[in-house]
Amino acid sequence: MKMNKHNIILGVIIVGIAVLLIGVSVKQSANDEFAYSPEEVHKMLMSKNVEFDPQELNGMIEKGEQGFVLIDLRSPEKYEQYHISGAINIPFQRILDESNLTELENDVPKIFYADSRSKAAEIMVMLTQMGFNDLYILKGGLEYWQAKVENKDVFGNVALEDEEAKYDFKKELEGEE
Amino acid sequence: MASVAAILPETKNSSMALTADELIRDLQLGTYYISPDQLSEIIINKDPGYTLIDLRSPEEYEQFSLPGAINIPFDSIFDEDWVYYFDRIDSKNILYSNGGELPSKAFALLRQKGFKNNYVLQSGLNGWFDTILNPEQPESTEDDAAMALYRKRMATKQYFTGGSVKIDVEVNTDLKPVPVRKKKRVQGGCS
Repeated sequence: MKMNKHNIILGVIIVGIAVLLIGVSVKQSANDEFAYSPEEVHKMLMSKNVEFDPQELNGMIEKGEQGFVLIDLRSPEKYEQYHISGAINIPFQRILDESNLTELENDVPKIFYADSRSKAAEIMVMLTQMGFNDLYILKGGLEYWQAKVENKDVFGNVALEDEEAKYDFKKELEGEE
Repeated sequence: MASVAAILPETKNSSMALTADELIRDLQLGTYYISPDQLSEIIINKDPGYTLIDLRSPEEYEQFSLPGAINIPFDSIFDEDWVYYFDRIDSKNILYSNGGELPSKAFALLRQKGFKNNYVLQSGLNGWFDTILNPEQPESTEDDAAMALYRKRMATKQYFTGGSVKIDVEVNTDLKPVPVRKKKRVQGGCS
């Protein structure tokens, strides 16, 4: 009887330690490891649209829709100076903070913009690697937004498509005598 | 045999791969950006330490590419034939396309894989052509450094657009990697 009790206590302790260890390792994997391999994310990026149309976003903001999170990845100083209406500020250096990661767990589209389209793309890819879903970068970036959505063309020629060639490259280099 | 082959790359990958914290630290440093001015210098000096990698479609590459650049379309970066180009220790790769997003996506993926020697042409060919073709003239109130940079850019413009010095930008092959594999036209296309 006494022996049995000992065994039970020992068992409970062992199970307790096991649960603790598993808990620690799961937490670590959430912090340190990526959910997807680079190859998997590469396939995802090729198969789905990860750019959010600025006019559509503008319409959603004007209608006061709630079903999305707009995230400004720039510095607090720049955010104070100017930001898109309704955007929250998470400087990209702090994106992995626990409190900020919870923002990304919401089951709504998360739309990023940063100092450059490059930076927004890098952060979006990294978070996709970590397993977050429904992530977008603001198509055309802040540049396009300010020029075409808010100020209606005052800054002149800013392309919506980042990959669109602005010049006939070959002609520009060879055309002049 | 097949299972061994399946396991091998995975093992290699996990031993090199970064954590998210390490990746964000790299992104924070931003030392992997190559500015348009840096690119001009690398091309003019025919710097052998760099390999230019054009991530656009074969059609766009045929139409125009930077001197000595090789073409690895974004969709093919992890193809067996190409991926090794991104993991070289003897040369720094400069990834470019028309804009800045695509090379940045490639960079983030390759960096996660643990590859070290990849760089991104900031704001792409569009940005490079902006600085070459239309160097912004500094205000008279700006300092000497701004004026010196402007003069340098004007000279660079002269270099690339011909003028009195005729340069054939298509000819230089110095930047091609040494162990060149047979160039394979990529199947499938990217759209």
